Amino acid sequence: MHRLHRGRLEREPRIQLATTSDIAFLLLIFFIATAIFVSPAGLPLVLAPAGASARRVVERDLATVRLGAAGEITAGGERRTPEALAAWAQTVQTERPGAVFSVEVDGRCPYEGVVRALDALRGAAVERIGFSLVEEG
Amino acid sequence: MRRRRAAAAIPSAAMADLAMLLLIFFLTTTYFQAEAGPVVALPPAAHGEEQSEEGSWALHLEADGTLTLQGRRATAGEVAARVREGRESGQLVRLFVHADRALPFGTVYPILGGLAGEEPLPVLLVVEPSPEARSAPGAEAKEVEP
Repeated sequence: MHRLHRGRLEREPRIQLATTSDIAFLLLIFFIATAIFVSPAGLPLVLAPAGASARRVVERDLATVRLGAAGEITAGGERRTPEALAAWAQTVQTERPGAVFSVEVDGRCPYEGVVRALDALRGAAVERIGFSLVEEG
Repeated sequence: MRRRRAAAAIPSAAMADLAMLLLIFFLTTTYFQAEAGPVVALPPAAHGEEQSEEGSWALHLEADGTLTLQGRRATAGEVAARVREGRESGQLVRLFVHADRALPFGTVYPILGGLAGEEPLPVLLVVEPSPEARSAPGAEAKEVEP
C-alpha cells in the first residue's frame, strides 16, 4: 500500500506471506511422511490354562529338543546350531506332519538360548511346542 | 451493453490458515512415548513379529530377577494376581514379556507358569530384531504347555 508522506509517495513495509502456505504444506507433508509408529517385536506364544489336561502324544510324534546349561542345542540325538535345528525341524515336520516339539530346558540355560531355539523353530514354521524344565545337576 | 464475466477461480486464501492449523495440530498432539519400565537387554531374534500394544501389559524381568508389571515393581505372586485380575476385567488382552537375555530359564519359567489362569494367555516374548529379521505375516501363535 502506498501513502503520501510530506509530498512523497512512500511504500508501507509489509511481510511477504505468499510462500508461508508452501512452507507449511511442505512441513506438514514431511511430518506425515516421516512419522512411524513402532510396535514391539517378539515371539508370540499362548500359555495354556493351568487346569488344562495333559495331552497324550504318541512317542512317534514327539520331537525332543534339549537345551543345555550353556544354551547348546541337541535335537535328534545330535548337537545342532540354530540353523541346523530349523532344518531338522522342517525335515521332522515333513516326515511327521502331526509332530509335537518338546523343548526340555536346563534351568541354568540363559533365556537368550531359549529364545534362539524358539526363533529357529518359528523359522521352520513349527506350530506345536511344549516346554519343560529339567532339574539341574 | 455486454456484461463482463468474472474469471473462474478457486478461493485459496484460507489454505495457508488451514495448513498452519493442521501443522500446529500435529506438532502439538504428537508425543514420543518413552519405553515404560526398566531397560533390559533383550535377546535377539530373526523371526520376531510386531504386535499392537493395544490391550497389552508389559512385564519386565531384569537380570537380577526384579519384576516390574506396568511400571510397578511386584513379586511373582503379585504379578500373577494382577494378571488374573486384568484378564477377568478384560483390560489385559496380551502380555509383553521383556526378559533379560542373561536370566537363567529356571527363573523365567516358574514366573510364566504362574501366570496361566483359567483362560489361555497370549504372550509376546519381546526380542531385539536382529539385522536379518524379517516379518512373518500370518504366522500363527504357538501353543506352549508350561
